[in-house]
Amino acid sequence: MKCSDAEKLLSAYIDGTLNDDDKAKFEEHIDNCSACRREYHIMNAMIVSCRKLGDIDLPENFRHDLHERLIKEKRLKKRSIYRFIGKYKALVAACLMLAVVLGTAAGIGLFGGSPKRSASTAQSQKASGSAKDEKMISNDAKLFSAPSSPALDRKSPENGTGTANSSDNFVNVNISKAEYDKYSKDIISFIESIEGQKISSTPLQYTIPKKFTSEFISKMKDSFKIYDVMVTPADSAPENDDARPKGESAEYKAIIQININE
Amino acid sequence: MNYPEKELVRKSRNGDIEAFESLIQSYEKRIFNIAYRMTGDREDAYDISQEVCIKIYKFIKKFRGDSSFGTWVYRITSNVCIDELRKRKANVIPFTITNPEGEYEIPVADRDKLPDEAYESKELSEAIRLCLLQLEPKYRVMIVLKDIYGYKYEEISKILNINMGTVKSRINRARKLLKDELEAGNLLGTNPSKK
Repeated sequence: MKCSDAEKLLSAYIDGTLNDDDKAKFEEHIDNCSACRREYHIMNAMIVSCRKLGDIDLPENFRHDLHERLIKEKRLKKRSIYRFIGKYKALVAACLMLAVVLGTAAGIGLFGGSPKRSASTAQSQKASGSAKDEKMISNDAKLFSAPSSPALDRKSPENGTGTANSSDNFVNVNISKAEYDKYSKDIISFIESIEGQKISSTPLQYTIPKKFTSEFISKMKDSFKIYDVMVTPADSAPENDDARPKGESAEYKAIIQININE
Repeated sequence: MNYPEKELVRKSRNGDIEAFESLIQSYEKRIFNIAYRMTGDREDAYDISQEVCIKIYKFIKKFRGDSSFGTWVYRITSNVCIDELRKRKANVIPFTITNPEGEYEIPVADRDKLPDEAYESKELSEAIRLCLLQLEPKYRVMIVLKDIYGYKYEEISKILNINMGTVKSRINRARKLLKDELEAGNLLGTNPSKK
């Protein structure tokens, strides 16, 4: 081994990382070379002295000062967030506004079709959806099938044959107390004749088959001289009862509401 | 507070100062001493180690846990020290070895006997401390991590983010340069006219 090769291996030899072969060659060389042996001793002594340098203690105020700086740093961090908002407040406001607009648009169904479509989608999802979704969807469906006419509260008629639906006609009959006292029995008799059954009590809401709507209105006006009769036609069902498939006519009604004005 | 390090790191990420102080307590003395060995000055070491701690607090969210937290801490320490020394461009100080009473009397080793004890004196340690400051930062950090703090090659490779081959060759080179500095100052009983 040459001295130049021994010099390259010196550091690794001191660190004990040479393989057995190189270690043996290196030891053989320094046994025979006083200059390299001396280099080894000097280097080894230097490293031993380095290890003995040891640590010095932290300055007394180190932790206190660090604590103060950390608090400042934390404040700066917070401030920089507020500063960002301050600097770009127009942008932040625009983003918030956009979020509100998009949220509202989504809420009124601009992105999901018409409300009716939403309701029908809701119905189809209801069949397979989760309980949470069902609740939300059913609420949406109820909202979209609410009555469009403010003149009549479309509750189920007291002599009814079921709940109101969008294909029913709604007839508001507005009469005075005197008119009611005078004609109520006749009105009920007429309804009984249409229905073919006796009405035991005297409620203010009745149902008749939808096809008798016109006949009922004519009777009010011509026989009883009651002219304040308002009809809210069905949303979508055909006026002609006969045009409907067989067996469905019974589902479509005219709901009569008697309103007594004080 | 007596949480495991991982928990302290998690809390520190959320800005918890108390958790961070508990976390850094295990490292702050080593940070300060590495800075001291790199700069040779207590005040500089104080400034640098404070800066290192603040950087760790600020950027702890970037610690991904790929290495140990200690490795990450000492990587930041080494980088801040080296950057600071480069900035100053004053990392080579005049070669003087003095104490309040005047120049140290460095024992000249016996060329024939070379007892290890001759190199273990307080004076030699002081000479090494000062000669270390003559080295370029990239070699200085090798002596600090390997010979003063006894890190293994692999650990140094991770701390400095350089490959093992470079670590080995730089350590070999750094030791040679330090020895040359000591010899140039006639601190090891060799010819002072070399420098």
